[in-house]
Amino acid sequence: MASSLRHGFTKARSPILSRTRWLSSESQALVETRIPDVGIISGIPEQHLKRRVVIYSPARTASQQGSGKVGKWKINFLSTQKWENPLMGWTSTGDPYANVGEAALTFESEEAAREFAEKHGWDYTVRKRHTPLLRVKSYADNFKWKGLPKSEEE
Amino acid sequence: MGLGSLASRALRPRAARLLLGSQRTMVTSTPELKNPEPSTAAQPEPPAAADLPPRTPVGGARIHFANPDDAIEVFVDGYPVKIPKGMSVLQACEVAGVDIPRFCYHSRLSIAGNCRMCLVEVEKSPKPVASCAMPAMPGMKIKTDTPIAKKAREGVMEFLLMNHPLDCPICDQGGECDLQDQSMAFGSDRGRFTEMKRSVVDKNLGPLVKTVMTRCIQCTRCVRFATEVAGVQDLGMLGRGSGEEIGTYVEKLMTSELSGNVIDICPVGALTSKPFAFKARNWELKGTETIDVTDAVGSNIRIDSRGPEVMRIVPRLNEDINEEWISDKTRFCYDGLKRQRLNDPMIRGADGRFKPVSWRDALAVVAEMAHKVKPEEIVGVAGQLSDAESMMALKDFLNKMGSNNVWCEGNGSNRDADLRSGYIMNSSIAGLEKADAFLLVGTQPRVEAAIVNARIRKTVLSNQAKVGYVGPEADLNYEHQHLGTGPDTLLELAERRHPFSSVLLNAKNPAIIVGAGLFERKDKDAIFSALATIAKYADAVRPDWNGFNVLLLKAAQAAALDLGLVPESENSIESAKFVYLMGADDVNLDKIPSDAFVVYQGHHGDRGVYRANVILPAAAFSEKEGTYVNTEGCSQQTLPAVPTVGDARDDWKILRALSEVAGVKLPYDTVGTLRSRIKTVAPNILNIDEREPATFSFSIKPETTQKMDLTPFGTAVDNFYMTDSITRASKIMAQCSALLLKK
Amino acid sequence: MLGRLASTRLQEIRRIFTQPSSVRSLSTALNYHIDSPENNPELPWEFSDVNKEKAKEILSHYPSNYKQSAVIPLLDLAQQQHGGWLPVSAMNAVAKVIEVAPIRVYEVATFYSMFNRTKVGKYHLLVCGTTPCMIRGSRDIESALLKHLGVKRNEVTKDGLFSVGEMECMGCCVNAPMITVADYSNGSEGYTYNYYEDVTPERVVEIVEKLRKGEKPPAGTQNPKRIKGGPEGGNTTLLSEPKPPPCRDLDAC
Repeated sequence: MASSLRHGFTKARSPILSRTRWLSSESQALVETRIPDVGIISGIPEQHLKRRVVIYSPARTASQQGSGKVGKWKINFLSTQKWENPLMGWTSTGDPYANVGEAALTFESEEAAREFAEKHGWDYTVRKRHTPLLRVKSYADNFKWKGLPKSEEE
Repeated sequence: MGLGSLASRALRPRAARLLLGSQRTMVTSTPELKNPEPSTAAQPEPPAAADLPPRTPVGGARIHFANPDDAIEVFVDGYPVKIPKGMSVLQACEVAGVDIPRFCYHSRLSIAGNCRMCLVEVEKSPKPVASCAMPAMPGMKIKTDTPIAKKAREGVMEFLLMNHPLDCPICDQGGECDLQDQSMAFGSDRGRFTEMKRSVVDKNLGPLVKTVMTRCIQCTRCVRFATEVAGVQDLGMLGRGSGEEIGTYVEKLMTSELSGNVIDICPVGALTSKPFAFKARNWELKGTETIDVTDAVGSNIRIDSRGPEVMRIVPRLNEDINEEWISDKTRFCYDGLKRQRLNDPMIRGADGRFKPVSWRDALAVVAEMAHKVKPEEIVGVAGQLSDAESMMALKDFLNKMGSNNVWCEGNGSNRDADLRSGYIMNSSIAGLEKADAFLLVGTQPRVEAAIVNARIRKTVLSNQAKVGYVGPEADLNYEHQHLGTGPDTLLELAERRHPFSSVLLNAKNPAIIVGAGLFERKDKDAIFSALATIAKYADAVRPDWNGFNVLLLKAAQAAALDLGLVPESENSIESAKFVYLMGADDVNLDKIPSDAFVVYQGHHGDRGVYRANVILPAAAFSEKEGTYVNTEGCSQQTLPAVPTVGDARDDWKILRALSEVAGVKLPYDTVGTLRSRIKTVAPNILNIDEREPATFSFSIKPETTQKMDLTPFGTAVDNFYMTDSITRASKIMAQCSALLLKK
Repeated sequence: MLGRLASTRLQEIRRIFTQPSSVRSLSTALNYHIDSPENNPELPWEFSDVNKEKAKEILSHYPSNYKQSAVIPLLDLAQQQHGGWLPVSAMNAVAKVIEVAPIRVYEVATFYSMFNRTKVGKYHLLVCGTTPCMIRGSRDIESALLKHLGVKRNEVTKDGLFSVGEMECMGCCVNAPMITVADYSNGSEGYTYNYYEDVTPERVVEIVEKLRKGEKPPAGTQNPKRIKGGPEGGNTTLLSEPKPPPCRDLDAC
């Protein structure tokens, strides 16, 4: 299992990776089949290979804190499924990917996130990243001349 | 390049020294700070720019060059950057990817320059300079991680922490506090202050903002926000020296509809959210980036949830829509998501009480009733919070049942949806900043769309734009002329008899903003034709500028019109026998005949439920993935943040299931196929995060024989805090309307 | 080791602080308003007719779109009119005149300690507390005043005549110690603001008693041997005609 995972990852990283493979059936007809690269070999349950995910870049916090985490890309697995422990009544996530998206996965670029999603065969959409617009601001504006007084008030 | 990496860069020399095995046992935290010298002498020139890794502006910021010729080049830590003339040193550093620590500076407020945290070294400058207030000069060599800069920051930090209480463990800002972060990154590990700390009396700013004024570091961001953005001059800096404090002097609640934003801009825990107080720590929260549906602006928000509960809502940046602000309704409506929820399908029994039933039974009853009536007696109304997917499903379902009487509340009964430019904000929200004259007709943007109002206010302040207002007496928080209250003023304007006509004529980019409240008027076409006349003579609709704007009230309105949810006949509801209310609470329920069968599909037990025969519980906006088109025609999607309550389902899924039970199966099983169906009707809706301008502009005057009714325009929103089923269920919003609304 | 270092330092500091610290409090005025029967926003307040003219004159110094520049002179005028202190309604009236939000006026009024936001006596005695006066015994003068009047600092005597406050340097260091008497007994027309210099604890009591009787004790130095700011007992330097300065070569400048 572990080796197959590693195998999958090395494959994913290789530049000549092709996402489509040509399989020839017995009838010699060429059929194009899209196979998620990681999916088959990693032993991930099949229902998790057909997920819809959203790739996004978390916005900077509105309180203007440090920008260290800004610009990273994450995957939202759209999972809100909860599971209640029948013994204790505690609620926990009912989806193994919920915390993967929240805490574990970050990507340096949109492309990396896309590739990762493609590799897993996920149906993804990418959300536009909103960036701030720097405008010229000046301290002197505080003391800007207000212009001539309105004549009718004279 | 965040604070952490900046700090680590600054700390590197020390680490190197430690490795060399120097045997210093200094009491001061950082040995090289004992004698900081200008870095020119102490350090060799940094390596050429080519060796440095390429840097990107902080947060991926774009730079606005007002005039491309005015670019100057400065060097930040040896790295050359091109910036427009007049930018501050701090902004230049930001462009170079260096995040300068700051407290008082805020990119959307005026510059105060009073916290001194942003001190950096500039070559040939005798002292460290406050980078937020210093304009960058051509060829300036800025150094952000030299011993001088570092010592300056450490000193400022020590001063700021002098009077700051050490109550981080009980402070709500803990974990997302600028002061905490920056004292970790730039502060010393000890202070020399041993006197008593100052304490300040807490102020009562109302039901939304909690104050612990002892924590305040006098950055004055809140004062500047209230004065500049919110437009309520209530907060001020009182006293002097160590007795200085933020306050209102006389006891006064903050009555702005944007007041919640001071919670975000406060760099410490002095202003925190009252409803969120002591509820959760920010690291326990899962953030879901979604959009707001309480008004038609579609503010970008992040829903912070813990487990199955929405804990708070905070804004996220979108320069085109809400910048970084959200209205109080958006921010604090979330407790409405937990109250009054419908969680099981229910059927009203003979005794008038609702009885929970299974989905199968409920759908069977609805399908049976739908088939009992004539097709033209079936009416569907989409509520103001409906997403495009469910409205498409509703329309398709009703069409398959043979009825075309389906509309969205707020759009009036005779709205034609053919001309897109006739119902969206054509100049876009950000585009309003280019306008130099506004004509507000029948709209009070302050309560209808507080974020748009903030834009107008910004424009009025920066461009000295003139504002004319036609409508009932209203409290707009910027200078405006109240031209009149009703259509007679509009006629005067159309016939250029009014003095304000000359203002519109002389304006370069006049913007006419029409309130969607007028859609409900019978003489709507006549009003729009008068407006078209005004737009024509004021030259408001040109290839390079479209100043004809409709300010919608409700999140679903634009998408509903895009999808063509317009009723076939005007009085369909009076003759209806089967009414399908999809979250519609603001339709005139009295008009529904008493023998009609009413299905209410929605998430809250609000007005519609009182009249319903069957309740089908649906998911709220925080629990589903839905597409919304905002008032400027930008479509955006919500994402689910929390699980639905009880047995509730997504709106479109309920309709899909119902259609199958009713024998008119809708041809989509997944949201993907449903969206391809939408694509055939209104492809612009699927252009997520992009504003789709209207293709045909408002040049064609609507042909009308209508006479204008001279009754004055009414107010579309009476209570800013309670406009939909979520906000009406919210306790916080109820408190706000009790305390903050002017009597 | 660090712990020990810190604890010795702490002990040192404690020692400094356990010394009988002076009764000086830093700031007594509150920076927020508490409604009281004599000071609340509902009370009507307006400039008197004479002062309206004065206010107009003050406003005429500034361009009509910079009316807020007149905030300090107008607050001063309002304070003189209202017996030496500014109720919140007076600040609101000033805000109305200069067309700004009231908070902008409150900010100014709380910033300057010369604006009294609580009631003061008809004669507001301000003792200079800055270094030269302090060295020359201003603390004794203050305590003599407080003892004689039987009040605390910034408290008004029962008859409403006197109050004692502290002021920072009023530029009279040459004749330190000094007190100022702000006389609000005659409204803004008869308002005087007199320096009494070279005072002694006995002399200030005499001044107070004279004021109480309605007399006007001569202002300026209270040392009979001194002429204005000159040295005691006549000049000691500059006895001859002063020599003119050597002519500078102005062309060389």
